[in-house]
Amino acid sequence: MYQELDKVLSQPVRLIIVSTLMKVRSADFNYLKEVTNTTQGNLSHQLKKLKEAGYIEIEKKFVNNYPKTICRITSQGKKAFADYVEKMKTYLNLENP
Amino acid sequence: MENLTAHESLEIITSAIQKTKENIKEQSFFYLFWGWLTVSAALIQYALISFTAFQANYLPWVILMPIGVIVSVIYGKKHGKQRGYETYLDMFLKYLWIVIGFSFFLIVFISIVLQVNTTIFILFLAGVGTLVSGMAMKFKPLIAGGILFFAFTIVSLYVSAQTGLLILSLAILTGYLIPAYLLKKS
Repeated sequence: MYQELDKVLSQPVRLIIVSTLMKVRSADFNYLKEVTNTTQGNLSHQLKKLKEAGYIEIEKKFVNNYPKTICRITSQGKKAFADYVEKMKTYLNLENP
Repeated sequence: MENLTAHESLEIITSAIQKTKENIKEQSFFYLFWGWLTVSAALIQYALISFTAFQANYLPWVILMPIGVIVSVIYGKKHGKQRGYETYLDMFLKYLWIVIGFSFFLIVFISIVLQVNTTIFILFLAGVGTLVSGMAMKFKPLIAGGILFFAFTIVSLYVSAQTGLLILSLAILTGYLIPAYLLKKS
């Protein structure tokens, strides 16, 4: 029986963002744009969705008069990611008995 | 809404995690920079004691160490901006050396007040920093370097303060700079 999937994480760009942030302490907007290979507009939109879900925190600051967006995963985000991976494992076991 | 299959999800997670690599090689700049800076300070002070009557022979440290702090801060900021992310290991090593660096200044002050040979404590602190860094990075040459520092700490107990400066230079060359060059090549 398939369990209800986390709709926030079952979207490629958002899953890449959260997977990346699981490994690092913080990542900036440009780096996330590079790893997700998406547009600036789409990345902004997906970051906003993740922030609304409480999975990431976004810090905006100015470095040498340039705006810099730094993202970090929250404990809620870590838990959601761990749950998501557990469900994926269950799915794979069901697919490969 | 695009829903992913379990296989696609795991592929995305694996690929994203592999893209963000822990690159310990990038740390080598700090080790090389501080290694040569401290060797310079120690040898200049040794030369001042040995060949001149200059009283304030500790001046190389007073001048070079603050320069080192400024350069490290600027390099760290610039480099972090270029890379776009900070790993937990980066953060740990940064805080470790900030605390060790602050401890150096404190230990110099303490040894002046107690009128004991500063070199012994500098070697000991450098040993702690180098050994912990090596263990955290899982980089054997730095682990060996840290252990060497402790050995040189014992040696420095039995020599004069002046010879201690040569011991310190030798310790940094073998325990710090050689591992740093190996790290750069790794």
